Amino acid sequence: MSLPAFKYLRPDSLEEAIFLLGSHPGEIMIMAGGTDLLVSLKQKLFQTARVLDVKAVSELRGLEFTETDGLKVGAATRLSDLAADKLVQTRYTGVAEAAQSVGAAAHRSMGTLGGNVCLNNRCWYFNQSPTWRTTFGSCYRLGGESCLVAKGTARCRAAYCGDTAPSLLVMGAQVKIGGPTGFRTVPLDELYTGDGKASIRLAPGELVVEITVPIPEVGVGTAYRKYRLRDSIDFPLAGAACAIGLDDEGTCTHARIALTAVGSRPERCPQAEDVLAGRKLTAGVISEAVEAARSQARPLRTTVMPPPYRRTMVALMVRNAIRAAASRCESGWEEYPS
Amino acid sequence: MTTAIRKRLPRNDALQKVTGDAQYADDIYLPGMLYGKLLRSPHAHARILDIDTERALALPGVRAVVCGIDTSGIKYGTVPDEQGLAIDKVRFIGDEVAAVAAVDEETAEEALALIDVAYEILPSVHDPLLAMQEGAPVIHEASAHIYDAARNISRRTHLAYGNVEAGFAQADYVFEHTFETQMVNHATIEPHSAVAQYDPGGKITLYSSCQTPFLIRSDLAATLQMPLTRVRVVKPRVGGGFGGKREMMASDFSAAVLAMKTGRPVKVTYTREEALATTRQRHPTRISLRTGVTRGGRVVAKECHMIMENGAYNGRGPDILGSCPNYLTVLYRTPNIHFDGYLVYTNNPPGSAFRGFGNPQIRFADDSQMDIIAAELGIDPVELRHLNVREAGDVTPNKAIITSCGLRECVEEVDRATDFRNRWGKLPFGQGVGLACGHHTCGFKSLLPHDSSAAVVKLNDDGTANVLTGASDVGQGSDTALGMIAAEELGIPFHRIEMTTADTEVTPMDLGSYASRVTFIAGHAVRLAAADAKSQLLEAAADLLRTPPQDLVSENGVICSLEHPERSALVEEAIQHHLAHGPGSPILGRGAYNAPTDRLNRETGEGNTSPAYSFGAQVAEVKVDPETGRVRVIRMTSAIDCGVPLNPTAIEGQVEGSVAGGMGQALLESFSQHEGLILNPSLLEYRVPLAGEMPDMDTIIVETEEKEGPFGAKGVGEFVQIPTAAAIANAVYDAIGVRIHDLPITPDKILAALSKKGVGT
Amino acid sequence: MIRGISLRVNGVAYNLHIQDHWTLLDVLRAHLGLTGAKKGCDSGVCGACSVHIDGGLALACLTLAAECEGCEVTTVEGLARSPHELHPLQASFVFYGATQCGICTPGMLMAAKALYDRDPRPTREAIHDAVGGNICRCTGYAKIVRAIEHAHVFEASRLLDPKALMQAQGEEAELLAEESR
Ligand SMILES: Cc1cc2nc3c(=O)[nH]c(=O)nc-3n(C[C@H](O)[C@H](O)[C@H](O)COP(=O)(O)OP(=O)(O)OC[C@H]3O[C@@H](n4cnc5c(N)ncnc54)[C@H](O)[C@@H]3O)c2cc1C
Ligand code: SF4
Ligand code: FES
Ligand code: FES
Repeated sequence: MSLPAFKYLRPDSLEEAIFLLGSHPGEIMIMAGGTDLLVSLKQKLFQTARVLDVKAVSELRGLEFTETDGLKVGAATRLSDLAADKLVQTRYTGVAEAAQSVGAAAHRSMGTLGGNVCLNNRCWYFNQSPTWRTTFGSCYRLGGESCLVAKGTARCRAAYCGDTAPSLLVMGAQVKIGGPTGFRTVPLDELYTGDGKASIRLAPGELVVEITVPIPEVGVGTAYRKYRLRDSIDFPLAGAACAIGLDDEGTCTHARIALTAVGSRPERCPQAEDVLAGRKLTAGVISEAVEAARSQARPLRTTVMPPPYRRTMVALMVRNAIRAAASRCESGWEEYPS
Repeated sequence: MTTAIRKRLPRNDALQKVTGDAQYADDIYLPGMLYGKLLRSPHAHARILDIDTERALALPGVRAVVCGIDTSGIKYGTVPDEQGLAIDKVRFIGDEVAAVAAVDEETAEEALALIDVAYEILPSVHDPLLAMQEGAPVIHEASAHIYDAARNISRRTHLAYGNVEAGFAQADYVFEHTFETQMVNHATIEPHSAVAQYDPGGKITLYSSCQTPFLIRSDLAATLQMPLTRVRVVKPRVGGGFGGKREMMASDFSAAVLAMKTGRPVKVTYTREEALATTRQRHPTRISLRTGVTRGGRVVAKECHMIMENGAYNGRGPDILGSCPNYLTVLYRTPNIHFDGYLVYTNNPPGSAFRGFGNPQIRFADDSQMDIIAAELGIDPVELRHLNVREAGDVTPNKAIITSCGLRECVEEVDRATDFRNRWGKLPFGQGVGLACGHHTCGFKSLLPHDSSAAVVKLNDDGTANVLTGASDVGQGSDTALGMIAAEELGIPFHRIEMTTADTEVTPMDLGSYASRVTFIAGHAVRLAAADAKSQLLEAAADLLRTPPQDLVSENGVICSLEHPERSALVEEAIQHHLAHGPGSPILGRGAYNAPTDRLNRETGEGNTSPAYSFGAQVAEVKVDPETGRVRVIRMTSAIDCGVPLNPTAIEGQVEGSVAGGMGQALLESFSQHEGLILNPSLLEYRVPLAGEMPDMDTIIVETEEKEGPFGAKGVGEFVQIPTAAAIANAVYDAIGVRIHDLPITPDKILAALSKKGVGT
Repeated sequence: MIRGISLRVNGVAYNLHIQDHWTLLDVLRAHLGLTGAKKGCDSGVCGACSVHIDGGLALACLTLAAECEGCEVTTVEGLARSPHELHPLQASFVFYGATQCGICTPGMLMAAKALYDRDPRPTREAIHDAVGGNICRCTGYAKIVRAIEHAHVFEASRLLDPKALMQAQGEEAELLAEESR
């Protein structure tokens, strides 16, 4: 499987990167670790005249924490560095867990946080070789008439399968985006369009520079739970992140839940969060929240495992993430039956 | 004391493998080499109307394009139905249509897209039950080889032994169940690869990632219409076989044809997708078993109805189906058997040999049913096995001769090691233990009227030896096992043995690595060759030490007299003496062995096709997570009878690898298909076990001495994978009370079954 | 596009002319004759192409050669400390029978080395994680895991000498096996 010919660009400053991106609109693609992009290019899923490697851009590298601004992670920071960072492990446990759960060791030592957040949506009718695609026929995303997952519709429902996004969403992460007109910072949630075909909301010439995660609220516990069939390599079939705050009485003062791998974008679960807020986390209350999350998640047949099963796993991962996050709360937690 | 055998010696190719030195087919880069790629059919069934290669040929860098019509079109295979490149028809998605050679891979890939093929699309059939119905699309034209072409039945094996009716009449209970096994792929980490070189004198040299260089030479010579001397097949290091590399592949054929056409070396290496989706698979099967047992637990009659999906071509399918009755008769004493099996063509990827040659499918069904029977009769599974196990000295109803058999002891050993009887049925919900047994052959006489191998041993004047044999090490370690046999027989240290193997021009003939035959059959040949060399060596030593040769032993490089232990000489001294004072010629030992077996009688299924049989029993201990449905195998205990254990490390390696493979089939591996297209042709979604999935594995060696085997050894390559799926399925049942009849046992099936039972979420 | 790059592979400096879209794996194998890194999938799944780039674990099939400008690349060919001294992981793989067909072995060793460099006495879990992206179809992983677990035993041992290792039999081997238990 050879790569298509392209020109490789490796700027070492952000200014140059933005200049290069702006100079070739539509004819340049961003590469960080390349663990997703190069596979897609080998499969000829995209065409591009240029590949812009952002790994050498100094502004995109590194991990910084201050008690005022919280955590700043350069987009080109390697997942393995993020996962191994002691501070991230203690203050942003869910984020460290998510980073550690990506692929296998090599994917984490090559793959970056920016690449993971901007991961292309996946679907088994799409992430295939040209031979395969000619045989099967092209779906909507590939220029065909109709989506093959939601048959008869002209919309792509490919699933966002990155592991880190939900763990960042529950922390209220923001992304700093750089482009020809300067920098802007948006909540991470706004980076996603929910359209499988063009899932990342970046204007031409823009790139993700940095992900910032605010200081966690006092006493909050966080967790990420991923379901997959093997303990390594596999993308999530369902993933849930959770952040929970409890007061001394055990009443939930803060609840954030987000999902991945079951929809066209990583998504928060507001109903489930509402169920928890202001209540004691009994088994019954948790089940209620889990139900809310389950009914929100609508995985489609974008991968081998059947959607009803994945939906069951969403529920399980949400429950496990809530429990794990709650048990990490400073105030401590024990599950009481309802 | 032995010189080599029974020792945990390091493999003789291990250093090359840990340093990156070992050379595999794809590692070969020859000067001027071109890269070949294959154009494959996007249709499951179609007539080729026309192929236009003009645009492809015009692409700069393209050196040749060949299609089926440019070749002899001679069909090959054990029951020939396949061409190197298709001519009239394509029969599955991935069938090879044309081959391109270009200066680099990119250009070759690009050229494929420029070949215009006009197809007339034909209706296709993807389910064997539909394919057998009147009016189904006909995949192969009628020929003498095909049982019923109109109904796509390539082969029917219909046999009965004993008196089945009377047998069932004796039965107090009759059990009837249907099981299904899925298509699985060998997924060797080395994809198929071949490099062909053509010299203007008219000779092809093919470096092929294969298990059977001599058989591939035959097929290649036949299809290229060349004498055997003009075709040389060399097996470099091979990155795993398991049966997937034991036939000539389109890569072999196309590399050769392209090399002949261009006069340049050509390499054809498959992509992972090609290797997974277009080579060979383990046949999917549907097996209905009706078993009659007495109240006391004796199996008295069995009826097996089997549909084996052949896919588009025969591969080794006819022989696999033909072997299946044997798998039912050999393991458990079953006096009366009726077997009716159908090998059915479909427009799916072809099935063929895969570690166990049909045995894993039969065993999953039969040993799952044994477990059901045990529970129903209230006899524990160990006892049920004890009541029915095969014993040494038995002759099976279809005339297989059981010379050595440690099955009973194997069952005892796994029971003891796992405390099976005390735990079966008594563990908390979600935990379970399961027992299953298995056996396999040590050779198979069917393909050819012989099952043979030959070897040459050359002694050097420094006391080292070169062993030449056609046997093919594909990773299982036969070069090591054979080297150890030579070392033991000669009485010289193993590290002084140099192996030269699997080159059709240089080494003596051997049929290849399959049917767990190498240690046994090639081992025998090597031992005989070493013995021949040793007798010459001892003659020389006798002369040197002035004592009769019968009085001498050779051990660890030293020859010494039994009667006068003070009289001794180094092996090299004896060799030098032979050169100086003997006939002056170097010592050369020759050995050849043809297993004293019968060729499979395809009509009656009778005959002792293997010179011996290996046996084993396995206990799986599992944990089933009732919330996710995920099964984890915690521990797998295998007790095995492979005769005298030549190298315990190598044997454990075979056992552990077999467990991984069997567990993959039991729990993880499967292809989703849509009208013949494999939807998940990548290792990302064709999930084979990873390090973290593996259970603790214990191997208990139950030693028997096989009189016919070299140093008493038997084969170990396949039989341990055979019981694994049933052992796991049985353990799952013990854990949660749910019986899964169709593989793989995926978590969604478990959850569905649990919720049907009213347990869990 | 053709470009010139300089890099070091296994300590040897190279100036190469490559195309921008060539992978490191193809350049190593086809142009430098370093065929130790294998191509098992060419898509980042099997781990057979694992190498180290500037000390970090990387998949050569998902790395552009162009990215390696100025880098130090280590392949399995560069793992041994000298022609006469293996890396302890290599000795351990040989000793414990952790290689069968050997096609996964180079990648497995490089992935294991990434762990060994951090922690020569790792837990089982750490080993499963370290080689979790390396598929082996032959061994069932048990002997691989064992070899990684006990590699440190070979540090400074006589058995790092390949010749001694291949002839290790009898007492010495037994002793070593005992020690590692
Ligand atoms: C076998 C295998 C298993 C995997 N398993 C998992 C898994 O379990 N979980 C998981 O989450 N991922 C998995 N991945 C995918 C991938 O390895 C990771 O998501 C990784 O984090 C991607 O990061 P990268 O830097 O390599 O991305 P790249 O491949 O470099 O880029 C990915 C995408 O992001 C864009 N991009 C990268 N950086 C930026 C930026 N700064 N600004 C804007 N766009 C940018 C690229 O253009 C591209 O579209 C797997 C991949 C493989 C091959
Ligand atoms: S979701 Fe539909 S449109 Fe999107 S990739 Fe899959 S099949 Fe194509
Ligand atoms: S070849 Fe690179 S991971 Fe398989
Ligand atoms: S030894 Fe063959 S794949 Fe690992």
